[in-house]
Amino acid sequence: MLPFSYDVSSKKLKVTGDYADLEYDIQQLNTLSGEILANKADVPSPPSKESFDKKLSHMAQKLHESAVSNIKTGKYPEAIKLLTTGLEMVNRRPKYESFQMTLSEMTIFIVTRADAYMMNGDFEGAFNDADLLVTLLPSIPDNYIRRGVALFKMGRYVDAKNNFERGLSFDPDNAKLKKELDFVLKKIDEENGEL
Amino acid sequence: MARVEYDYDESAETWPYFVITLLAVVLVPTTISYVSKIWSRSSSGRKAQVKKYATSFKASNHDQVSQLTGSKGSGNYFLFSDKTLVFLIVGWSLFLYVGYVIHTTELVADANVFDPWEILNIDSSATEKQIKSVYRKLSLKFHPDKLGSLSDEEKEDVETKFVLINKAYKALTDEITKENFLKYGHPDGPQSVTHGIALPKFLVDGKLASPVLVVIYISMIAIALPFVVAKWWDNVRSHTRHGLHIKTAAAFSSYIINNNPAKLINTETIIELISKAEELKSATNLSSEEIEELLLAQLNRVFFDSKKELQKLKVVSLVPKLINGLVDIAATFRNSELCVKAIEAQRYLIQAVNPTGCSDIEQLLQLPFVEKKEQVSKKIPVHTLGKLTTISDGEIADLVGIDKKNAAEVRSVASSIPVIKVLKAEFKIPGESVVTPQSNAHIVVKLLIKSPAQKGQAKVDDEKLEEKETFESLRDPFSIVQDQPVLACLPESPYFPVTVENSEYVNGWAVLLTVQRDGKLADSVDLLTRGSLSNLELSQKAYSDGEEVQVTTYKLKLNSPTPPTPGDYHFKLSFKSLSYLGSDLDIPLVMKVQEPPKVEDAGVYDIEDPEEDSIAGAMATLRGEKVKTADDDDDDSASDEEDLEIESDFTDINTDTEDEGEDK
Repeated sequence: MLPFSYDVSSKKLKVTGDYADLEYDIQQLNTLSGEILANKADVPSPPSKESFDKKLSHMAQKLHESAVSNIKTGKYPEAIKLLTTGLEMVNRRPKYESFQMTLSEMTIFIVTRADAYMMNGDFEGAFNDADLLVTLLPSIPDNYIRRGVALFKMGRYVDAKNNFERGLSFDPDNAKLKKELDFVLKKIDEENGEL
Repeated sequence: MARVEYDYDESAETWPYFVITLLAVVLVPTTISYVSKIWSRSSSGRKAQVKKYATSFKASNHDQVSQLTGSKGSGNYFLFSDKTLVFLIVGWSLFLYVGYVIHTTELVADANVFDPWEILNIDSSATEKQIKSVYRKLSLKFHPDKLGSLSDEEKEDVETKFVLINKAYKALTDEITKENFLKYGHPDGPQSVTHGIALPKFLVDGKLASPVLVVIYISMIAIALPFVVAKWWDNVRSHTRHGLHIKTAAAFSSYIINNNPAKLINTETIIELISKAEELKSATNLSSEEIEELLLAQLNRVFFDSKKELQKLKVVSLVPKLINGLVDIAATFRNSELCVKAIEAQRYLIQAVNPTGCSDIEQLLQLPFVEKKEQVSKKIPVHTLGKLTTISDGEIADLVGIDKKNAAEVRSVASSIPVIKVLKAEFKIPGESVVTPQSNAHIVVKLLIKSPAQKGQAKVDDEKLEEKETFESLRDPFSIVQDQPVLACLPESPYFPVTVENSEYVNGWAVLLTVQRDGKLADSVDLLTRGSLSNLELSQKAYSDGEEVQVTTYKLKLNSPTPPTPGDYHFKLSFKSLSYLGSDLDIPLVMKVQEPPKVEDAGVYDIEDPEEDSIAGAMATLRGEKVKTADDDDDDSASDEEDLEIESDFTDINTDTEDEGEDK
């Protein structure tokens, strides 16, 4: 017997028995099937640039703009709240849409939120977002500046140093990274009582 | 006619030789391997050691720790727990006994052995004349006609002797007899062939014979042989190449495969994973949950009553080997995060430090007398060993909340924890001046193992950083590393028992090479286990001076060839201490792959351009190739020089990465 059953009323699969590792996969399946059903069309359009929901993009852009203006006036907590909402909204896009497009929309929000966290003095929040950015876009040197600075502020100087060095491996002439690296190297020496 | 029969070894002449040979075959190699193992592990000649640091600090579980390390009973514990040693002692005493048996058993002269010289009692170099005279004397003495008053028995004796003397004389003088003697060893021609069995007779013939022999045969063939083979096979089947139990390896691999990348790995995750190991279960008869609880207790410095504490330390002492296996498996998946976290977890378990919530002062928690993290003052901004060595004893006492009289000891321990300073690191291909595509490269690192108390740059001669390329070094570039003594890092953690089994996994550094582009491991994880610790004892002045500074060479062999296309490839080389907190080092490293410099003038082996007026020259002109004209020769020397210059330009290209200059 299969370890899951189909619930006709909710039109969802349900795990029967103790299969914790199956739970996650079934949940993803349910989400996708639910979204396809809600789409009403028999077959959802292929995940291309054209079929991407522009209306939602427009709304997200609006949210982002207001968040940026909040940052400019120094209202960081409000900006973070707006950005988090926007991120959720983008994240709830139907899964059958082009993931490439969803991802690029998401990164805009994460980048801005990481900076907002940083300016707000929430370095752990900034680190988490920067860390996510490094995972999503590992070849952008700026992301290493973000993560490195967050680590520096948290007192993890050696980790910060490694981030700046990794960033420099993608862009050896990046002036900002070089400056940050010099700074953190001095700080490490100071911590070790070398100076 | 020759007859065939079996001789049994009744007088114990031959079988002891047989036994002693068998014993020697087993004992000698075992002894050699055992002694070399002991030598490499404990010989002070091969090990780089800092002078034994004596601490007055005793951890709450000091007794149990020393019980496991065997340091309390001056090595007796270790001596008799070693099965090989017991086997060797028993084996060698048996050997001596059999040797004694051989020595005391007199060799009975074999009647079958015919020695004409001995019978005639002359030297083998005697001339025919001498032989004749001796024979005459003896035959007169033993002639059967001259036996008057002797008893029958004596007569018989003398008669046989006389026959022998005659035979011996003939063997040395008569042609045919001599030939017989030389061919068959006896003047009468071929003798009966005897086959000796190196066993006493009672084992083969007699009442008990067949049952005893049958039992021995059965036990050898039906029990011992299958047992040995089965045991070997079982070991092969149940353990991986690195000595990890197959179930453990499967648990580790399945964790890595099913790991959710979004989930953070920390020390507790590693502990949970390690506690599933079959080795720990079979060593303690505990469930995974109980083992995990014990490991967490070690991490949090929770101590139990004597018996349970001993069990906990036993589990902990097995962890380094498991971590090593886990790192090996994770490295095949190129999972750098898991490797790093596993090595960190090992250190936290060795030092009994839980980093949660106090990662900034973790370096201080490994010092003696610093038993609780609450002891450490937050007001003094000192977080590292390096900084701690710069402040006064009074400040140290205030910082880690201890009695002032112990501060000097804390300082001395902090200064004897080895840290690494890299002087030079580069990619190298033996025999090449640059890193060429698709080649087998290795990384050469010249580094100092020094004390955190030594500050600034050491003025190390450039000569010490250079390696001359000799034929030997080209053949085996790693011999220079192997010639260095094995590191034995002191001081040992007060909470962790370093045993014979785990010492190879806790001394030194793990070396990880990660690709900057994707942050994954570029190669398998290697260990830096050889080097010089003598720098630790140098004063600041001697260190800065650089005269007495010993440079350690480390080489990392890359298993995969260099990339096929020229360009810059960025790596991070990490040294992760296997037992200390705060002696790690990461350096960026660039591999500049380029085509090998073109050497235009290849010297005498080059085929010369054909002469203009030869047929080959005519053909070459048709193909548009260069030809040698008669007056071309004069220019040759000039162009040679030019080529040489080009060559030297290429050798000047430096593939070094900048020395980091800063380390932890």
